[in-house]
Amino acid sequence: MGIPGMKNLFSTKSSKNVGPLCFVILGMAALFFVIQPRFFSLTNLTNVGRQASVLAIVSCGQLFVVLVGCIDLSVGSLIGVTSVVTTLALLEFGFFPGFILGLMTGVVLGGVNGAVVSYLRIPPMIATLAMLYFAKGAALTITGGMPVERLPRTFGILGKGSALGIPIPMLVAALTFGICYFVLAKVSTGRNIYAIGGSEETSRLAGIAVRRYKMFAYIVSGLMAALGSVILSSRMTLGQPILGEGIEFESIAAVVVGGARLGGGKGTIPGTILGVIFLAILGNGLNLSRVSSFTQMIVVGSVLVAAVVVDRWRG
Amino acid sequence: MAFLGGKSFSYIGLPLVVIVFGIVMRSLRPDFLSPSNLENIMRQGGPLVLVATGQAFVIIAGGLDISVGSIMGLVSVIAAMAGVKWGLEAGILCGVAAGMACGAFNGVMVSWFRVPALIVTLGMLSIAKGMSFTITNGMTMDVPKGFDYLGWANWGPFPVMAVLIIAVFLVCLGALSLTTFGRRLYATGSNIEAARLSGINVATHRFVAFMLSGALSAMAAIVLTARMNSGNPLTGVGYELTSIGAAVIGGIYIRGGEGSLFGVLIGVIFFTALSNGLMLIGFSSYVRLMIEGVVFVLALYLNLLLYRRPE
Repeated sequence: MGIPGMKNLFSTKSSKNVGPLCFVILGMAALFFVIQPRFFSLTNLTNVGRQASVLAIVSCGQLFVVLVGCIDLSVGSLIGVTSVVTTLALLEFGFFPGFILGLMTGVVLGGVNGAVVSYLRIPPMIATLAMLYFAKGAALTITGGMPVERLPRTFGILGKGSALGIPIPMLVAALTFGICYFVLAKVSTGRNIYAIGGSEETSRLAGIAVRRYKMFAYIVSGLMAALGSVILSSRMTLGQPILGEGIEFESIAAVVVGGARLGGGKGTIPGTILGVIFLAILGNGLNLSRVSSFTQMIVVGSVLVAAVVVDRWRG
Repeated sequence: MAFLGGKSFSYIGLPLVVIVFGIVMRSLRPDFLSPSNLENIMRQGGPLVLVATGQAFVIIAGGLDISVGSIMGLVSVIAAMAGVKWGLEAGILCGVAAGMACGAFNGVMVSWFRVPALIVTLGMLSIAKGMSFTITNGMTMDVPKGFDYLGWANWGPFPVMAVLIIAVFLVCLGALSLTTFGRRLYATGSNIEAARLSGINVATHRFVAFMLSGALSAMAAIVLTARMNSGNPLTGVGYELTSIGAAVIGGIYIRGGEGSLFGVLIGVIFFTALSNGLMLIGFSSYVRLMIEGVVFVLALYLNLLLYRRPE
């Protein structure tokens, strides 16, 4: 279990060889190009990039959690509740306070997840499942089930705008990747996270504050969910309590496809990026082929299971 | 305070909690304990008894099944459609078969492909939900004529559904506490390596547990379909949480290997009474979601506290 170095981004030491994954993605892109030439238009690719940015950001957070051996099923509902809080606060106090309050919501709820998992010792899957319901209930209660509308048009710039031809969400995602990669690969925090995932007992005996790192991972996940939520809400110029429903599956699938092991200790940011790209292309290709979003649910679920099976086979 | 420990909790402690809760509720809303409301609670809790029992089998064997809600939606839809096409009995059979198939898939993945139960049932949740929505395009389906008999008829003073549910529950209780299969299931969940070394076919036992969960969820879905008189892909939403919660608060140790179905029954009564009581007080369904989440976590915490084993 090594640490990904700058020199060797796809080192086989730290994650399963992502070479095959690249081929799969290229193959898929080629396939879709043949079936749907529209796929390669600049508009389409920009759209895909814009849409995938949110998943990318959320998946970064999920990676942190998965690396310490946990899981975060609540990210979808966190997006919903953050969307509601951000937009309501925006209407009352302005963009900046709204933005800050939204991020804080993610941090606080992520912290609650972390506390429940670390200190109450409740299994992560169940703890975050409960948070899923709690946050969903909270979001729906705050707005009575209705979306938050009549937001100022300037709010939409974040999600819909571009700078130098690149969609702003993609820039935000790139920045997020950079920071997360740096933390995981270059700083002792990252090393400790991989250590905990590798063996929790050994790490504890070595003096690593395991509980605090798990808290940290969940706070990061909450923060990322909040960030993604702001971008998504901006893009729709709407505050929606059910926003982001289902993204937990996609983020877990992206992380696993990208080489992470669900028991922790394995997985990288570059791998996760590839996983996100894979899912984004798959989703976009299916969309262009007029496959219903319900069927896509089936596909994502199957991809998730298949990715884990493959991961197990490779030992 | 010995009665608060482990097994005695589900036999003494929890029923006490339920009684206290009932008394408190009655002082807030006198009609909480009225016969018609109690009947409501019984009716509401019926499907949950089935799903929680199935969940208990899986948890005792050392796993977890969060796909139950989506399986219920799928079964409801399939039972409705098959019933309309080929008759009531065929509808029910197809529904149960579909539930068993989903459960079997979960079981195969967990037992032989070594995929963690968490992930398989998470994937199945997505797959089943997608399938039920795809089949119906998001709408509800009509059911064949016989269904409402099933849902509302009585045999003498007892509702048909209640009798069937109680019968199934008793069979499961017997299977778990009186048969070798049951004993081995507990062993598998308690310490899988030790079980395997002592010759127990852990793969098969876990497979059966998941299949039972699927089958029982299917039965619950059919009960609900009969009651609502329509096939709905959203049947069973929320049941993943309440089934685990009821099982756990009823004393099934979340890490497997311990607990009794009798406790599950009390757990179901607790959760149903809680939900009913909150509704009577006037909390919206959204607020109830939040409260259920919190109660769920508390129940889990209690469960871990009472059963803590040296690991």
